Amino acid sequence: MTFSSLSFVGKALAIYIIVMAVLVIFCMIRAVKGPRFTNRVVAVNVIGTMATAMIAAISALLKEDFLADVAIVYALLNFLSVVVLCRVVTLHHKGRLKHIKEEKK
Amino acid sequence: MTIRDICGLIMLFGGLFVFIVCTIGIFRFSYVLDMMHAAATGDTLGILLSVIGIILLSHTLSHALKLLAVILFIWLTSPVATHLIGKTELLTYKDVDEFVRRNNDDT
Repeated sequence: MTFSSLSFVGKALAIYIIVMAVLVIFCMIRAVKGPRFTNRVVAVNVIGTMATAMIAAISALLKEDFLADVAIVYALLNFLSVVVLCRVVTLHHKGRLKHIKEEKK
Repeated sequence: MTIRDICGLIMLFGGLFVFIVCTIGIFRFSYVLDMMHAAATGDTLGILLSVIGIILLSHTLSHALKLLAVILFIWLTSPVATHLIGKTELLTYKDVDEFVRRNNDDT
């Protein structure tokens, strides 16, 4: 399938996906640059949302129903990764504070 | 090229515009709570416009219903994720009181 063989709607969808890919690259630069880890988590969350929208656009471009299921699973994984990261960091931080307090006693 | 296609493409590119604004906000802001404000724009309005545009371009009912489930799921989970990130930031940032005081003195 080449770009010139697509219909007008297909070409518009392809342009949408290409621009979204460029935006994902910018978010990834931000995720590498971020001074603290929370900056990185926010950037990764936005990358996941954009990937969900891109997969939905691909499902309309290829006229395949099952790619919509992949989009749902991607949204779920995105949420799960953020929750697990924040949970682990919070618990680790609380444990360290408790440890410092016990050492002072 | 029907009316439905034209409406779908307009909403799709409206969603693209919102995502571009969201990325500019992510890229330019330096503090996390400002970044979260910009990220929430893409998580709500961006995904709504994009996926409703794709629903108008889709061809079967099951496809459209699955895409509606995508919007519903992201709208349910995005506030929870943002809340958790903000909570983690406030817990682990040691000088948050100092930061807030300095910012209030500037204005």
